[in-house]
Amino acid sequence: MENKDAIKKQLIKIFGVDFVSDKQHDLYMYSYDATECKAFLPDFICLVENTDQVVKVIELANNEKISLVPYITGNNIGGLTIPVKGGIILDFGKKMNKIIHVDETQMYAILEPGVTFGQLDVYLRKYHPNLRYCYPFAPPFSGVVGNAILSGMNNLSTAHGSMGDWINGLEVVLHDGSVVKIGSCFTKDFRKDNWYSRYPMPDLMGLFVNWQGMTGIVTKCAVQLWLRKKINTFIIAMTYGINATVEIIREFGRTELIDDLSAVSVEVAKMSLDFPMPRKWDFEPDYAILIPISAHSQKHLQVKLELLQDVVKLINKRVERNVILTDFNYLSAILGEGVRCFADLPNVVIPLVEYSGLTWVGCYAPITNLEKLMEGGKKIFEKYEVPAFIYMKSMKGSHYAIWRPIIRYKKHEEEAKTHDMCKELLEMGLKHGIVPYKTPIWMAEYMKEYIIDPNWVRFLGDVKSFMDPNNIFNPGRWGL
Amino acid sequence: MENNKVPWINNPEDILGIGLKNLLSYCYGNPTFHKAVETLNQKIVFDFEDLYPVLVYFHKPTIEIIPNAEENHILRFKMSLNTLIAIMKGNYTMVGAFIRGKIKISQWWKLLSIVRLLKVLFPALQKATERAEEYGK
Repeated sequence: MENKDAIKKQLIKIFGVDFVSDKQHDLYMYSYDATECKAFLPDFICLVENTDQVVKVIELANNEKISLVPYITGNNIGGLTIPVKGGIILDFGKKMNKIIHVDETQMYAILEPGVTFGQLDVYLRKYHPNLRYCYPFAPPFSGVVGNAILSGMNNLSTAHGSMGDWINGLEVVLHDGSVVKIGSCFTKDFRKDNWYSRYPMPDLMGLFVNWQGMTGIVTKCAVQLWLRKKINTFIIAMTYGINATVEIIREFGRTELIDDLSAVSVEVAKMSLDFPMPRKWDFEPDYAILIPISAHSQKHLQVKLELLQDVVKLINKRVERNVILTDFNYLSAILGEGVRCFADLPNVVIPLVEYSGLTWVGCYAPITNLEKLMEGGKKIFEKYEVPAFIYMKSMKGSHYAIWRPIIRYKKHEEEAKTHDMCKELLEMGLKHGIVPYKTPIWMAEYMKEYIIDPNWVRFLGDVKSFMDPNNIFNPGRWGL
Repeated sequence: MENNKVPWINNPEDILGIGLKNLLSYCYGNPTFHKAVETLNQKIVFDFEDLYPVLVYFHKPTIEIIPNAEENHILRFKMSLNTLIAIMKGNYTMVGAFIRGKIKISQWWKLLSIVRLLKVLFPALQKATERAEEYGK
């Protein structure tokens, strides 16, 4: 970069001298993430505090043709904030993290980008105990807005779908520095009480959701909240074989009785119990399916449980070995504290943080093809002699599913092998209709070459060019 | 208590074995419990319906847990996981579950062995129940 000193001076003018750095030891930690995606150093880190700073830095970036990469906590599993073209990391996590407003009646919260799941949970429990958001299987310090605009899944997904579906409104700074409010909040003045819906006007939200920061910088996001029911508990199903597992995922999801449903291979449960490389015996169940349920009263809960038992009875008539459905609170007291990490969210899920590297082929999947995906995935895990770590979920009443094979690995030692494994999982999965979410660049490029209709690819490029003519917003994503 | 910090029980790697070890570990350090374990000194099978049997060999002062094994046991308890949990919840007593046929015990006339086993199991189940109730709050 030729005029780095001049750019630094301008950045200091925007953000203040204490909040801009180009020191190597500061830049390094922003250059990589847990995945095997290649590391790149940014040129500058800036700690953002307000929208006005974003407007000014966009003007600077356009003038200097330097890229801007939005960053919250950097623990996405997709290399999404690795600055592949260098440039400026805009870190929203440290200072731009206010909960601006919670609307108790209309049940939404307006958030700055740096708000974390842990922060929101504490805030709601203290000031709005009747409301809750949701939690992904991610640490409490993960960012809410990042997850929402990347359509992450959560512990209410079987009931309500992905977090992307629950965005009521966005404030976004566009390439020309204009600040736009999207959704029912689109009025001239800023009002806290009109962020209640993304419809029925032309839905511009799609220009920003799942774009990985390629089309503008989100500075506010309104997310829907949900009633915190009086009773919140968990049941667990243990299954033998693929058929029983998929039957539970599909059928329980359709009942509209449960909040969520997360299936993991039994090895994963053992990983949480101090067995990082667990062995699996044939006589053990193959999958453990954790099912959070909420209810307004004990009677309501009892009815739900009875109806779910009826579903299990029907499934048991169709499968080789019976499904075991039981109370997770009691089972976890028997098995050990470790398995609670899957239930008491937001939490650090132990198996996800035991290794220096973590990557996955995280996908939305047609629920009709789960059997094939499970079978194919298992073979690939066996081929690479890695304990199976497969996570699945019914989404939005079983309209679709999540299929996510996860690979823990030793960073810098096993990256090539891990990448080969991911590629095989991707190729196999694509044959069965998966679509990766929080898509790493390499996956997007593979899909563009082999899977996606070229007209879609061209249209994507056209929209990107329109939204970001100088290609300053997180360039390189989706090969753009 | 974490599994790998209890030296006197082997380290089973199957899911039920891990659970039984954790259950028994709740009473680690309790002299009455240790005495009950020493007195028991027998091989007992816990056969969980729809899952698999686990052999627990109490041989003083250690306990060995072996999955999917049944050889040379003196007692065999067959029950579902839900029955065990129902007992923890207080829906049945152990005897009540036996009378209702929820627990089947081979060689049930070996009453002394059963009583000795219950002396080991009761305090462990009680501790696990307290923990479960905390989780449920």
